[in-house]
Amino acid sequence: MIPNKQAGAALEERPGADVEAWRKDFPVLGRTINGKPLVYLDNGASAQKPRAVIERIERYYSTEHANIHRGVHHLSQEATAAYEAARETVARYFNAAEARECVFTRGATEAINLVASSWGGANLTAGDEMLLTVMEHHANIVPWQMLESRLGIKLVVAPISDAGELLVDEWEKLIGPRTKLAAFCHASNSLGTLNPARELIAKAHAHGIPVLLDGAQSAAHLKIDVRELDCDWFVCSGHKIFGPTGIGVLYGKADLLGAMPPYQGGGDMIDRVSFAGTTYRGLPERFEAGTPNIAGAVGLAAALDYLDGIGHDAIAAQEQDLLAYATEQLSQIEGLTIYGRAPNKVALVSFMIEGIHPNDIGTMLDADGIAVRTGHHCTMPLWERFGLTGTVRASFAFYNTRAEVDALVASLKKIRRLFLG
Amino acid sequence: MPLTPELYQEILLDHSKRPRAQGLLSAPTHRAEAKNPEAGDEVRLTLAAGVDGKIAVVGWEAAGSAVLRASCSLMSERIAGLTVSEAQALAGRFREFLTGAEPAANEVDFWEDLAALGGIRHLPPRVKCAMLPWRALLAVGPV
Repeated sequence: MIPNKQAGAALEERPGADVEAWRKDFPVLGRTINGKPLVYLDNGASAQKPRAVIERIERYYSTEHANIHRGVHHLSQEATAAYEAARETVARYFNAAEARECVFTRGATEAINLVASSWGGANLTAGDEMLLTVMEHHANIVPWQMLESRLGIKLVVAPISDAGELLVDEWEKLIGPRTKLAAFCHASNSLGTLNPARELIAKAHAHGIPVLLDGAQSAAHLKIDVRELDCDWFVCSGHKIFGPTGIGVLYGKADLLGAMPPYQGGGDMIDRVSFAGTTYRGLPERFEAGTPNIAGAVGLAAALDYLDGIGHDAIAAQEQDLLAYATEQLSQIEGLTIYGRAPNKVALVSFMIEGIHPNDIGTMLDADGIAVRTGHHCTMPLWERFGLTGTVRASFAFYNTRAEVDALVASLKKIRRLFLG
Repeated sequence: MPLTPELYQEILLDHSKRPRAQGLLSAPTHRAEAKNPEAGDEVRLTLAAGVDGKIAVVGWEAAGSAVLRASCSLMSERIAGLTVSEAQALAGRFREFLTGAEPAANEVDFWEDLAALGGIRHLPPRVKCAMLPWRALLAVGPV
């Protein structure tokens, strides 16, 4: 668990941080925007790519590419080996028991849709309930709503506190005799709240309910151990963990995943096709119809190796320092309210400045080269709960610096003077 | 008139802080509303046209950003004295100004202070904010 450093009084700069060396690994961080050095604080939307990932993809396309799983020629075997080696890397990184428990998808969104459509379609019937929370990303709401209209299941939504913490007791009380599934975010993309996933999963399991854990926002910040968490499914997107876009992972326990019907039909997922009837392959190919994003998988593996190289303790230390520092500095701006005050957070700060619309703040920060996200961050029900339509969100990665927080704060003060001064 | 970022900012801030024609008319001849649910933006627009068909008074209410309020305010000034169909033709031209090819210098001059909104041409989500009152104008019907 990440220590709560936000409350710490002394915010000494961490000695020995290797941030400057890390920054050199990310070519885009050398860019200027509107004549100012890029200050990239939109990592929650998508993280930047280290040279290790960019070069790996280039090498794959330059020397290794062919279609996988079917060629009898050398290059196809090399591409297949690279793709399956990427799966092994993913499995090792997330500590899955077996590589076949890791299915490559287009991202977390497709992974959730896969589970909703395949497992939900086979196991849920009218009147069944599934438990969500109000802090879910639309990607963990809409696929289930589609099941709601398709099958007549009922979505039950657990509340949060004003500080943005899931009310765990309320959540557990909502588990009833018809509850068949729970799904929640590991970390909230809008508030930063880190949910007590292990505890929640144990409680759900005590009621005999499987859990889908949405790791889209946590995987970039924490070392994920799916066996320690004991989640039944875990989903994440490659592009948020410094890998390419268009690739993601669905982890599922082998027995659960193995019993699920196919999601999409096509090549690669079949055993034998005949108009008299088709049989499907086992895990993981059953869920990977069509030529997959081979370069994406290979690039994602490079990203995970890169993160292992930096070290997860170093990443957590740098990010928690930035979170504490940003929280402290932003709190000093008059009229600024931070949404998401949970003691355990990933490194992002969602805020509003009284009297100034978030979109205006975002546009004016952009003029200073500062990239943030503004609006609802794909969590409209959450903001409805707070009586807002959205916020400004600064989300950090380990390559961000205190100087960048200072640039953000200085620009916000200037914007406040312009609008309200 | 060269449109520097500073001038753009100044016009935008002036119209968002001291908006012209804010508040709905009690006896309008035309009315419409437009929404941008993605950003939570809303505009309600009322017009009062005289017997000559020309817009005599404009009144609006908006929930949203400074760009949206400035666009409402600037539009209200610009369309006074035009017929509704002339104003709607202007709305089409303004959409082209914000979303079409890079405008020529004389087109920028034509828009006078409204050209300040050209400062967000490169940000399509903000163009949606700026276009909202004009979308309402294109949708107005008789009361």
